[in-house]
Amino acid sequence: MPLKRLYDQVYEWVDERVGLDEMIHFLRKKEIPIFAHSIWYYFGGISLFLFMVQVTTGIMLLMYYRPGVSSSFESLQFIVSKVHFGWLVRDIHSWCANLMILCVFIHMFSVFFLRSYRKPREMTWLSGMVLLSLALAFGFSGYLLPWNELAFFATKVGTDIAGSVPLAGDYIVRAIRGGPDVTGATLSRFFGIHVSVLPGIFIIVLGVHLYLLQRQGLSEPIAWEKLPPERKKVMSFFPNFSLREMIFWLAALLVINALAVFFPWELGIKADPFASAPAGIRPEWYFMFMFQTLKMLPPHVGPLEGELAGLALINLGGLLWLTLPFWDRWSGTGSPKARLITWLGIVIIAYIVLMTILGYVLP
Amino acid sequence: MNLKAVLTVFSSALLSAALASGAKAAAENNCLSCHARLMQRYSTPTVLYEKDIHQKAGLICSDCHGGDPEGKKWHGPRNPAQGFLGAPAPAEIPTFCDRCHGNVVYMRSHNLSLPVDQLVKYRTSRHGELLLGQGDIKAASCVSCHSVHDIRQVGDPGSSVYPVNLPGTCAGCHADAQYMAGYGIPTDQFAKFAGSVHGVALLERGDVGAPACNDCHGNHGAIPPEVDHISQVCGLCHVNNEKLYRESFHAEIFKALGSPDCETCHGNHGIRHPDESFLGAGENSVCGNCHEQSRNDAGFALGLAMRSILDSLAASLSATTGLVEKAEQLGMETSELSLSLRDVRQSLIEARTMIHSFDDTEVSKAAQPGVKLALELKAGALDLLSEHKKRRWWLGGISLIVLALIAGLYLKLREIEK
Repeated sequence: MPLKRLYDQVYEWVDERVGLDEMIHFLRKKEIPIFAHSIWYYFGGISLFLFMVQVTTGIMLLMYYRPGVSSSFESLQFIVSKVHFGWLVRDIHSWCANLMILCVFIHMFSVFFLRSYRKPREMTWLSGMVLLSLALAFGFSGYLLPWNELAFFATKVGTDIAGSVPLAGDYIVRAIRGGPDVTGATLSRFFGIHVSVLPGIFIIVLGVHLYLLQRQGLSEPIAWEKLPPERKKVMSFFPNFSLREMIFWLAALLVINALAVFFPWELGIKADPFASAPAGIRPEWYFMFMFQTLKMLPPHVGPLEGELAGLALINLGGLLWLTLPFWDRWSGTGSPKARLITWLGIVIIAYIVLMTILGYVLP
Repeated sequence: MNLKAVLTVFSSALLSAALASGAKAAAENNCLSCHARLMQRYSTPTVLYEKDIHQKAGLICSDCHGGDPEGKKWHGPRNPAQGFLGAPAPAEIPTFCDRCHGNVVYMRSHNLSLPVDQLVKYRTSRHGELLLGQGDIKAASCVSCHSVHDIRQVGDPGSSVYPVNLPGTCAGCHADAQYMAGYGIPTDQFAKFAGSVHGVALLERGDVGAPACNDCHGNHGAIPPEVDHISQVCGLCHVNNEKLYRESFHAEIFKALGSPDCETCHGNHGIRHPDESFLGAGENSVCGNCHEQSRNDAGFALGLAMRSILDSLAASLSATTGLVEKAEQLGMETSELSLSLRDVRQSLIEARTMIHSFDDTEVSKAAQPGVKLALELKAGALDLLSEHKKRRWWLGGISLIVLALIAGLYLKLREIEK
């Protein structure tokens, strides 16, 4: 069959120079545990796929997007109305950003509940947390780029929060905004950060994350530690796991396309810095639980201002979460205290869900 | 010595004192400290005056009422020996205020933009005629509208003559049937105005661009507009409508009939929001008030013709707006169409205005650009709706390809794992 012969010839040509056979052999040797919760292993890969979609659609948007107070909104209008499939690229970029953060959250909590952060994977956890922070920064900086009313005021409110930090608050706000207010200077620096700074750092940290994953392999469930080797079911990374992963990636693509067609992202009204803020200004859903926490705090908590106390609490919580692999000495030891860690995770998820719902329901 | 003479003698002295007080802002004001301790009738001004514009301008009690602000002796209601003028009688109020407000040089030092002809105008007003000419103390003087001792600037939303508050201030007298008995004028002006297109804009929406009573009747020279002057009054804002009307044959007919121009069709205080239903047949029709509701009546037929043009444009606008909104709800980018819809609306407004020419050809000319644009926008909106349909087909096609790929991968996986 001529097509098969052509494929073999090309494969051999590449293999001779790159060593494809060696790579495939290596990947075939990588084993993935099969157990009741294996499904959660796919969310890291889906997050990676969504990031790749973001990079691709982001580059496509860059071809037409022109940052500036008088051009951002207009260029987006042009993209969604005049550019062929511009609407699709823009909607996929917007939906994918949200789905990526959702998948990163799911991935993080699955690692938490499977206790995969334990030795020797502390650095994988740390690099993952950095990636989450970068994803949130991507979301925050990208939200302003359409320069619409909602984005403008949400950024104003969001950056205002940094102002409650004692002493340096005002300086931090000015540094983020590029001045005392959200202006064209803010838009320029958010654009620069979004398309240049964050992708560069993200790819480096992602490289570290994937290297560590490659070096240490996927974490086995705790219950497997007492199992005899013959009872541990595994599958090869290639082709078994990677083919399954491909199916998930394609399914994710289907979902994003459907969302883009049926629920297109609104462009809204162009931002007017002199207009009064419209009612119902809210941050993106992934910041909502923090926003709602700050909103529900009383004006003063002890000697501290409510907002400052809330910020301190959120930062302390974040620090504890980041350093989890270093203070959780019970997981995997059979200690009954390990259950407390599980409960801690459940309480945190319940808190995030509750606060997010309240954020949307309460006026 | 009668009061008029006292006023004349002291007015120049008081004016000099007032001028000086603006600079040194009164060394001592015992009026306030004494009056604040007196019974309510005498102490109320001291409380009210805290918010008065004159207080902010640095004037003290003696600048208007005379007397010695540094003195601590009791004084009677009026005491010319102490230079104390007391409270002016109602008929004296206009000249009392005019001592400063009619003085160009003095007012220049406080507020350059403030007019100084209030008393001159007031003398020509109905209120002035009644109060100064006939001694009718029920007629409004300065304090009736501006209040006393808590007078605010006209632009201050707390002022009784701030546009939004003014109709209520006028209604204080004019809506009081008992108070107005004997003057032979209706007392339902405020009720009508509140429900009118102007009243709703001003009182409900707080749109200070909408006219209050003074915008049609004047303020200090307030007088009911004469029949011949009504279109001039309306034309102060509705410039084009007035011009077209003046040049139309209808103006001459109304003049010959003694009809009050604009008011004949639109009414006065209770003016409704005008639309196409004013023309032609129907319960809102104003043509039928004079014309026989029959096609044989040339005037009525003209009304129907103009109505038909406006209806056609309004229907096009409504249908196109509906399509654009539908496309917008489906998530299509419609900002350009929405922006152009404003031009169609503008065309409808211009065509509506053109009916004051009472020439259906002119109305048709004004409506044409709107009709043409509405058709273009309708086509644009239909394109967007069709594009939206195409997107679903696109999604269906891509989904089939992706599903086929998924199925292929699944089969390959099964084959491998067998």
